[in-house]
Amino acid sequence: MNGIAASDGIGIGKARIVNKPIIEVTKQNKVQTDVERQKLTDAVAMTEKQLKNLEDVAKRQIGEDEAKVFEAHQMILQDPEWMSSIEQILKEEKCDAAYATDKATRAFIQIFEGIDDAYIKERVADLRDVSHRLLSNMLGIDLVDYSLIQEDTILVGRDFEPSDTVGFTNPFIKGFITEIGSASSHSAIIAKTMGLPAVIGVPEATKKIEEGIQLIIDGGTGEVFESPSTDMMQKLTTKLEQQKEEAEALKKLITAESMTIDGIAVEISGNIANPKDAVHVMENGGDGVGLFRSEFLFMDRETAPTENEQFEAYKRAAEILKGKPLIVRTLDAGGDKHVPYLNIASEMNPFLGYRAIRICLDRDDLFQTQLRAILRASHYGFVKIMFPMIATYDELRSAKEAVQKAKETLKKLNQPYDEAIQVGIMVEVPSAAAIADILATEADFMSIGTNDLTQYVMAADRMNELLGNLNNTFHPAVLRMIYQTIKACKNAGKMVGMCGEAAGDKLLIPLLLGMGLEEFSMSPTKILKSREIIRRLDTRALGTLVDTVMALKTADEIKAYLETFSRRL
Amino acid sequence: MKQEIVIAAEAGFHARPASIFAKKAMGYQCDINISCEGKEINGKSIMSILTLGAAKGSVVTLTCEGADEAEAMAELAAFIETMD
Repeated sequence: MNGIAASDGIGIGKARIVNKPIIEVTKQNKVQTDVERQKLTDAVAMTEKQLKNLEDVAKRQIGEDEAKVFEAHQMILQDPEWMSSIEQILKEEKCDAAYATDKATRAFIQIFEGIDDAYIKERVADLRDVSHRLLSNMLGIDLVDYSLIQEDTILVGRDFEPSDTVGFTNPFIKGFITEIGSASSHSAIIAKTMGLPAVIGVPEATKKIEEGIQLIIDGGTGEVFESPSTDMMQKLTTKLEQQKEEAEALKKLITAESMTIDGIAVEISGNIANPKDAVHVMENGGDGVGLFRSEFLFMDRETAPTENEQFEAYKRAAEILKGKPLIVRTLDAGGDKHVPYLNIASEMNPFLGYRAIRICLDRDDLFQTQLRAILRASHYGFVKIMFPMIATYDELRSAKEAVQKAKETLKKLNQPYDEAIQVGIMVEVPSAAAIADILATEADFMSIGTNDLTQYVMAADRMNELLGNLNNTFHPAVLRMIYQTIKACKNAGKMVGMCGEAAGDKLLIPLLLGMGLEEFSMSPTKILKSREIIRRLDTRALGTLVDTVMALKTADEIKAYLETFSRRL
Repeated sequence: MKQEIVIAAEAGFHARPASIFAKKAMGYQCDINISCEGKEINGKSIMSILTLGAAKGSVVTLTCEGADEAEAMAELAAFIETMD
C-alpha cells in the first residue's frame, strides 16, 4: 500500500481504525420528553465514567497537569446551569436530547466568546470537548480516546482534525495514515511539527487495513506495510535505529550557525501555527519564524478572535523567540481553510476565489483588528508583517495603507509598537512572480510560498490526488518563477526567503542557495538537517549547478540531477 | 444569609479560583448565589461564575439559603477574601 510521504520517519505499531462520523444534530419533534430526559441522564452518567477513567489514566501515565484537564471536564459536566438549561429546552421545545444539548451549549459558547479573556477562551475549548463527548454518548457514537491507548499504535482514519491531533502527544501513538489530504493539509503539517511519521492519501485505508494487525509506515517514502515479514521488520527496524542515531548527531548543530563553507550566512527558520509551536522552533535551533500561519487562530470557533486575544498570541510567540525574527502572515482564509463565520459563499474554484488578502482588503474591521494586534506585539520582539496572495501592485499599496492606518490608531491611543516594522509579501500567485521587480519597490521582503505557487503555475489543484505528477516544484516552469523572484529581490536589495515545502527539501536547498535565497522557513523538525546541508555547501561552486539545472527540460531530469549532486556532497 | 465581599485577587474571580469555588459550593446542600453589578448567578455553576466577569476591586454579594448555610457562608466567604 502506498500514499503521500507526509511526515518523515518510521512508525511501527498495531492498526487502530478510527471511524469518526460527523455529529450533525437536527431538531426532532416527534419524541417523548420522558424518554429524551432518560437519554440525557444515561449519557451524562456514561460521560462521567469515561472522564473519571481518563483522569486516572492520565494521572498514572502522563502527569498531574494533564489529569487536571479531565477533572475540569467533570466540573463542566456537573454544572447545574448547563444541565438545567438543556432540560428547559427539552421541556419547552418538546425536542430530542441531542438538539437540546447542542442548543444550550451554543448559548454558553456565545456568551463566553463575547468576553475578552484568555482564560475563558480556553474554557470554551473544554466546553466544546465535553459537549462533543456527551453528544457522542447520546447518539451511540464510539469515541476514540487517544490518551487511553497503551500499546504501540498506528492510527488509520479518513482524516484527523485539530481536536484529534492534540491527543497525539501520547507516546504510544507511533504514526498515522489518512485516506484524504495532501502533504500540506492540516494533519500533515501537525505531524511534521510533532515529528510523528505519517502517510496521507491512502485510498480506502480504513476499509482495507484490518483492525489490530501489525503495521509499519515509512513517512519518508509513503509506504505502508501490513503484517510485515520478519525480514522486512528487521530491515525497517535497522532504518529506524539509523534515523534515531542521525537525529542524535544533528542535535550538535542546535547552537551552530547556518553558514556555508565560504562564510555566507542564511536564516533557517520554522513555520508555526500557534505560539506553542515557537518552542519547537527554538528546541530545534531555528533562526526565527519565517511563517506564523495566523489563520489557525481563527479556525474552529464561532467568532473572530479579538484584538487582545490575537495580541497575546503574537506577543507570546515573539517573546519565546527572544529577539529572533517572527514573520506573521495576515489571515489566509478561504481556499481549503474554512472559517465559517466569515460567511464566504461556496465557489466553483475556491483556490482561485475570494481568499486571503482579497478578503482582508474588503473587510476593513477584520484587517485593522489583526494589524493592530500584530503592531502591538512588535513592541515585544522582532516582528514582521507579511501579506498572503498578493497579485497586483495596487493590492500591496492598499495593504500598506491599512498598516499605516492601524499605526495611526495606535499612536492616538498611546500604544507602543515598532515604527520601523518590516512589511513584506508572499509570492505565491504567478502574477506576483512575473512583476516581482515592481513589487520589490514597495515590499521590504518577499517569501516564496511554493505550495500555492506550484499549484497555480501548473494549474493543478494540490488537494487532487490524481494530479500528483503536475503538483511538483521541480518543474522548470516553477523553478523559473522562483529564480526570477529571487533575482528581482537581489537587484532591489530586499531580503528574499521561502516558506513552502521546497525550502526544507534536501534536494532543492543547494539549488535555492545557488539562486541566492537568504531565508529558508520549514517545519521545525527539518531545521537541523537543512542546517547540516547548508554547512557543507560552498556558494562559489553553485553557479554552475544553477546554470545546468535551469537548462534541463523536465522535472524528472532536474530531480535526477539534484539527486546525483546531493549524493556527491 | 448574605455577605458583601470585595474581590482582592489580581486575576479577578473569573479565572482559576472559579472552579475551586464551584467545587466547594457543590459540597453544600443549601442554595448558593453570587451577585455582582445587578447580575445574580448560581454559585455551584462554574460556567456561570465565569460569565459574571467579577474583576479585582468589584463587590460581590454571597447568599447562602438552606440547611447548612452557616458552614457554607463561613468557608466560601473566607475563600473569596483570600483567593489569589
